[in-house]
Amino acid sequence: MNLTPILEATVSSSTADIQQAEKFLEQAASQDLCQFLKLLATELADVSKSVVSRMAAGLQLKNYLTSKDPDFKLQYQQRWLSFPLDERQGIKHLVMQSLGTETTKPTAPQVIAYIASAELPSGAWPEVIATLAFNVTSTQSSESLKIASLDSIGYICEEISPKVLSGASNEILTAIVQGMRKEEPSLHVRLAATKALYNSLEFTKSNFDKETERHFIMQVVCEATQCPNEEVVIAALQNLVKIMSLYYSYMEAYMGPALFAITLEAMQSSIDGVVLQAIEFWSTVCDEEQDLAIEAMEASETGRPPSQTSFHYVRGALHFLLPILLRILAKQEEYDDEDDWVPSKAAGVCLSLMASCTEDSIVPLVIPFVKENIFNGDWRFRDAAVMALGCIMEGPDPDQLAQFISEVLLRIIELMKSDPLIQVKDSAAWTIGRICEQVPSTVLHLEVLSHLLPALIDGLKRETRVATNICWAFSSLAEAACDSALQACSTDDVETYALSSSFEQIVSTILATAERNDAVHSNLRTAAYEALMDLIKYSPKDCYIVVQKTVLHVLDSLQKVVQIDENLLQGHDKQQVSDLESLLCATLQSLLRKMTKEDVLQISDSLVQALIAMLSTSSGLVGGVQEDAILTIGALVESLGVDFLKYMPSLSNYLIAALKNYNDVQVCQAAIGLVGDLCRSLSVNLIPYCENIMQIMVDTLSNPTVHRSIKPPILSTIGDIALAIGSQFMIYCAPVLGILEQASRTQSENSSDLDMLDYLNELREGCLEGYTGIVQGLKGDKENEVSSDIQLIVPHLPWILAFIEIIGNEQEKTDSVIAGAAGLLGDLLNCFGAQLIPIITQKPAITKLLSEGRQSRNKRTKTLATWSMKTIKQLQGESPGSKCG
Amino acid sequence: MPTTDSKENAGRLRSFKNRGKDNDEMRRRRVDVTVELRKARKEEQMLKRRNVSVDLLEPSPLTETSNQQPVDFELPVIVEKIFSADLQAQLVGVQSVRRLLSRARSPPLDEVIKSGVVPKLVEFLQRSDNQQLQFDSAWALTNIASGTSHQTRTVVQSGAVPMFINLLASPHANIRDQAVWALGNIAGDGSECRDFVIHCGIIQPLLACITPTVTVNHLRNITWAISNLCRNKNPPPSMETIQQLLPILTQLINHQDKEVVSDACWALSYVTDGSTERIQTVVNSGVVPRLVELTGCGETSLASPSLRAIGNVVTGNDEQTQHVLNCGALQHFDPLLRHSRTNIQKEAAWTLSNITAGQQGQIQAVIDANLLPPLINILIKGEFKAQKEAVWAVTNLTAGGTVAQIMYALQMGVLKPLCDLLVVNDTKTILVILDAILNILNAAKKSGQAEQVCALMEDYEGLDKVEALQQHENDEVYQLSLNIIDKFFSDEGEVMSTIAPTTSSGQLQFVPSAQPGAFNF
Repeated sequence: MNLTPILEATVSSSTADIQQAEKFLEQAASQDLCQFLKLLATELADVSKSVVSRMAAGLQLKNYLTSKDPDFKLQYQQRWLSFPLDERQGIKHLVMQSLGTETTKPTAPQVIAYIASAELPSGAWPEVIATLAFNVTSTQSSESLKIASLDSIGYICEEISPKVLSGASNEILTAIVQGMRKEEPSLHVRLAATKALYNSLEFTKSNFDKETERHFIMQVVCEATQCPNEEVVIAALQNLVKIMSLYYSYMEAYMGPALFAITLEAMQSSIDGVVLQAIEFWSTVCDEEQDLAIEAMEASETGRPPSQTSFHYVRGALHFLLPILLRILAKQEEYDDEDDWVPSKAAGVCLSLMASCTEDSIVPLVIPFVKENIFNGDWRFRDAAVMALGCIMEGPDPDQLAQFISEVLLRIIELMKSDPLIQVKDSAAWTIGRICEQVPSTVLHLEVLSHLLPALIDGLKRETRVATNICWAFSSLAEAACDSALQACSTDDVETYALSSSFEQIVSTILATAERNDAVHSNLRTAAYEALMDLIKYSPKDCYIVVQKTVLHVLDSLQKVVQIDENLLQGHDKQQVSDLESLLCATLQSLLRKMTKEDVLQISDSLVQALIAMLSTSSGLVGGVQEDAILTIGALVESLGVDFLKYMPSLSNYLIAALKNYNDVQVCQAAIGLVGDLCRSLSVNLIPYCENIMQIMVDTLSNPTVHRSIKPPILSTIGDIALAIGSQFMIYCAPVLGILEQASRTQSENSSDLDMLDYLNELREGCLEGYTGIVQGLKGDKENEVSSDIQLIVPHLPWILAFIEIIGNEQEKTDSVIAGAAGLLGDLLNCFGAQLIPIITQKPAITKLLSEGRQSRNKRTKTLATWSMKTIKQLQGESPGSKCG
Repeated sequence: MPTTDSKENAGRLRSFKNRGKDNDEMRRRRVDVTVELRKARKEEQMLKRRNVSVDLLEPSPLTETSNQQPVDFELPVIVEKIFSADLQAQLVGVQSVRRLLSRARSPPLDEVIKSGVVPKLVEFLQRSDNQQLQFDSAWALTNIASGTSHQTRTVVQSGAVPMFINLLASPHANIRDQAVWALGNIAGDGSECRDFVIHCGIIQPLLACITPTVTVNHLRNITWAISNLCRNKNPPPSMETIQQLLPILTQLINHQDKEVVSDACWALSYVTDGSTERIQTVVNSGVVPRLVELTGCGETSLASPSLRAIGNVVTGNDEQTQHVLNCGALQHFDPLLRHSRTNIQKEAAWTLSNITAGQQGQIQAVIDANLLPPLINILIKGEFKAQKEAVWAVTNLTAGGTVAQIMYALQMGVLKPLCDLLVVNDTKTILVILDAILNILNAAKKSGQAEQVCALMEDYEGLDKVEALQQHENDEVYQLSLNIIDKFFSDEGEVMSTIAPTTSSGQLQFVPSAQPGAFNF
């Protein structure tokens, strides 16, 4: 069969030709896949065929070997392994033969990598690495064979788990390092090798652990940064960034003699790509050192030595780095795209990270630059000065900054108002937001506010990117003003605050800003509604009348947009409409949390109507909109309590649909949370809806295809239901307790899998909350008696106590899990009394768990562990010295 | 493969100005806020339920009256109301302060004291025209009196005690009970407060509360208050007080309610923790048989205090100890020594140590009750605090027992665990063990078995340990271990040569491992 014309047709300009060709290929594949793949490999290996045909053959081959979907990928790999050994050998031989023979966009390196990733884990094809490595090191190999082989090694490293490859790390490194050496005459080979090294860094840990080998790798990488070819330099610098994040603790020997000089020089390069990587290197050092600072703090609190210590490179290099960074900060593009990543932006981010890392030390180094340039006639330096100030707001002690901010604040406000350059106005607005957020004491004076507020309000009408930053400034300002008022008074309810007199004007301008026609640009609409939410959330009592007015306005907006929505089909506008619906729902949540119940009752009918209308449109099916709608319903439930009951008949269908929609994890989780809210507000009134809800929840729990993050909240919410409906829950006990036991028996197979460990903690917390709700619910809410319903728990007691014991023995448990276990234990003791004492005292892990909980820094954990411990003591018959009612 | 717009850079761009705060990010934060709020409400709900449970454990007849409102005033406002002339405002103020003080987490005791309302609350205790005001004031004061010594004293110094004693005769049951509760808290603070309450005349009115129709909850509180009247030493309550309270305690100890019995036992355990004269009054009251019975009832909350009381009685003179033995106390000790709770094991071993410190007949009673196996069991695998008491029990036995009794103990296998314990980091215990070893060796010598026992010491690595103890920093340890070595192991060659064949010949009949069934692992 001659595949060439068909393969060539797959890249034809005619859609009909493509479809026909693909149909043909699919058919061929479905008849005998193994033979078909062999034909493709033959085509790929045949240098007499056209470039197009060979490439198409390679791509086809690749697509039958791997998939982006992990499940399909596994299936494809198993299918490959099911082919006869000699057939596979034949195909592998053909593909190997193709290496280095493709002239443009080679496909063979990838095909080899995908075959290897199917075969290597099971021990097949052990010689592949050696063959590729030989291709690289042999003096007989052509340049293109070396490059293709290095590419293939790179793909293999990227594709296969480090565990499988670590045994081959010597062979791989030898080949890569050979290709990277400065003696290598071909720049293309050096580039391919440098890129392959990047992918191999993670599993060559054992080589990094050995000093001589590490020295050698570092030497080759450092030499590559001096290569005349900029692509090689960039790739080498990328390697340094990754090495720094993976092997920080080994860098002491290289930092002073090499890395410092290399990166400093690279920062001053004329090539943006080089500058970006050099800055990224120092941003990464900042990240590492901040993590180490956190670790050191935690270690000193718990009184154990930290596993790694910081060498404080950033602090040491600060004097050298800052002048360069500040100069780069002033190299803005005149017409920059907001999405472009350019050196001046990277310098800004790096400066912020350095401020967090070095705290007060950075202040005296940056202030002179700000002072000098804030009046500079060159806009680039004016802008850099404003940016620099904004960047160092977080990290240093606010008191270190306050004096200087007060000196320059009016100038910054002036720049925001009237600088001729939009870039400067934008930065000034952002910096003001940062000041409001981090050093609010400097702005919360009547004198300052009398300048600042009019400028901000006016700025909301300016260019969208300026207005967006002002919106975020309002968010920070609202929170800061509320905090400051809270500190001044002793109650939780703030009577008035610094923004009260301008509150109405601010809110109405923000609303107008949200409704600007151009608000889709620069994220302005989102920022404006977020500012509105924060203004509402942090508003004092004397602004309540504005809250009342605002809810009417927002509700009206929602009704209008739902009407538009109903008439729209799809496209860009549709996206805007659903985004807007989302934001309006979010704003309503903020409002509902602030309003009195009486006021909520005034609008709840219309609100529910609008929500139902929205959920009935096609936008209502968009995940984000549904999620925000459900969160809004939750806020309504919370506010109305049992009065929400009247909306249950009309809303329950949507709740049920969302609960069933486990394919949209966020929507499903929101619905599960809403069930919890309903439990707390409606209690026994929820009974008529319980059967349906319980059915769905139990189905979802037992469905293996459901995303695992949905299951813990369901377990917890089942506890809420039990608590809400008390003895009515008995009918669900048998299946639910069975599921809870199954879920709580889950163990981590691999203790080094951090994600699994996190999940295990979440799952256990869910189980504990589920059990707790059931125990408390069956116990009943009568003060002095335990309902006989609790007997249903008795057969499960041994397991529940064993589960608590397992948690006690667990090394990696969170505070919440300890608290949950301690609380459940206390509840069981209160239900079953002293008969549990002998069982508990036989499990030292439980006592250990409680003492661990008592020493927790988390107040809730401490309280619950103490309570349980006290309960045990009392049941053991220790005499209480004093009682308190 | 690395690319020029690598992932790091895309991530960093989100850190530039407010670039990262887009719709999805903000929705994620909103969801986080909702989840946090929900968690907080859920915890609040559970804590509320659990407070109910806590009440169940510390029973109170106090029930919330119907016109409940949450505390919605700040303390200054509450204080203003309490000091106002308006009765309604006073009541609202007192109820608010009472709720403030009843909250589960860190009630603001000091703040309330500083606000100066305590004397006013005491004044309200006299307002028999307003039952609610009296009751809420009493409750608030109760909670203040449950605090630190300093806080309790503030209540006492404001003159609350005579007022509360008056309230013991109130026509309202809830007020009487609250007064009992408050007085119990005050008396429990320490000897000084206790004697002050007694001096003010609590006893008769308190006892008068025990009527045939008294509710169980009220009786529990009364019993608990009585126990606090017996509590604390330096000095202990007067003999006169004890004489007044003993008759009622002998009744209460037979009550059908477990909690009442438990508190009555604690009261008796406090009384017996003193001179032989005090112990004798308790013996005379005839409660010992019942206390003995309770040690064997299998209920930890009752076994604990009754065992303590019995243990106290056997610290008295030989007759008092004999009285306990005559009541059949030892028959309950095997399970007590094997109890799952270390504290019970410890107290039981401590009690036995006082019995084995007695007459040889009393030692024999311990042997006859077959209590050496469980004691040895503690020596082998108990917790250290229980082991210490068991060591004392054995040492006392070897100090006061006959040669036959000591050799019996040896046969039961006390020597090996004693040797094993020589490595503990507690000088006192080491001294006591060395005493026991010396006593055993002496007894062995008297019965002509010195060589065999020396060989056992060797086998159990006891000799090595005693030798090592000659380097001990404590002089007494050094002297005692030197003494043992000098006396029994000085002629090393001779002892060793005679021992070696004996041990290998297997003639030693008292090797513990040769006695299957002697241990209960």
